[in-house]
Amino acid sequence: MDVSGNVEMPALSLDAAARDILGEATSGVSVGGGRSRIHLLDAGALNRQRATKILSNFGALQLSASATNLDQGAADPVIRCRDSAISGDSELGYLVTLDGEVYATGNDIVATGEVSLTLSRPEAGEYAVFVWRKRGNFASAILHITVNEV
Amino acid sequence: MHIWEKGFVVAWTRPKTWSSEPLTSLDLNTYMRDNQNYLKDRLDNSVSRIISADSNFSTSSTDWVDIDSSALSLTLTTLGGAVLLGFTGNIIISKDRRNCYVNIAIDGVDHFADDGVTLYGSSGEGDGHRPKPLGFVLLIPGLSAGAHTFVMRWKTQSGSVVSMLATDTHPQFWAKEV
Repeated sequence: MDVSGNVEMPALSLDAAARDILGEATSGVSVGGGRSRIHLLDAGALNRQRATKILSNFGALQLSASATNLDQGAADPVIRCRDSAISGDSELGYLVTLDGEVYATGNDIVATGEVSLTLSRPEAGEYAVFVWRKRGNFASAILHITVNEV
Repeated sequence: MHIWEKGFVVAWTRPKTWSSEPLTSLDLNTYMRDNQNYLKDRLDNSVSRIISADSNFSTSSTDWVDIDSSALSLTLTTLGGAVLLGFTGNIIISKDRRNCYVNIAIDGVDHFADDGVTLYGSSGEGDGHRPKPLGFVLLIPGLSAGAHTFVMRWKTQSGSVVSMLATDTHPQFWAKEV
């Protein structure tokens, strides 16, 4: 069974969040044609509800960065998630891609109501930083950072 | 998304054997005109989609899923002949040494349940993320006369995302009765 949403999320990002939240209940995700789908192997009510929340709450987190366009060698950009929704969360998931390939992924601790990620000595390219809640409404957001070659 | 599609079909009447009866316009229309039309239309009986989309299609699914249930789906009303299916497009796999498996669902049933009709695999380091051509021609015999739906499906291996290019190159999926 598929749960669909009328938003086209980046496939790698949606896949990371869906597998983290749904575990073996999902066989993966599909995107294209202006839609995103989460494929459920276990289509129980809880999993359907979670998948719906993942798709419905894409873009519902507040993400900011100290810089979104910088030259190589400039100060490392810091990405922050300061959102009242995460005040009760212990950690958020993140996935960083560089030019469409997975660059880093993991979990980050929520400290004093916020999460911060630092892109350490980034090489040139287009970074996409995707962050998601692991509970509640499973809100997520994506932020793009360009590092220019010098 | 722009999709080009066409399809048509007419009927066939088994020719009679004339002996000494008069040749009538009714017989001429039935056995000559209509069957000529049938032969011509069967020759032309095909349906095709050429896809121009705003974004590519992607999946990370390790089980069979539709690539796109509308864009890569064809319905052909046949007269009982075999159907030739074809596809031309480009595939990208996000990781090295992973496979993209392709299958066809005919009237909602996967043609093969295991690993499909063909696959493309990325090989050594750096081969992932590079677009590669994917094409096949497949003969589907034994279909009854009537409407049949053909849907392209795919899956990949754990940890990879496969994409079908549909913005700058334009996949074509077609079916033709033969």
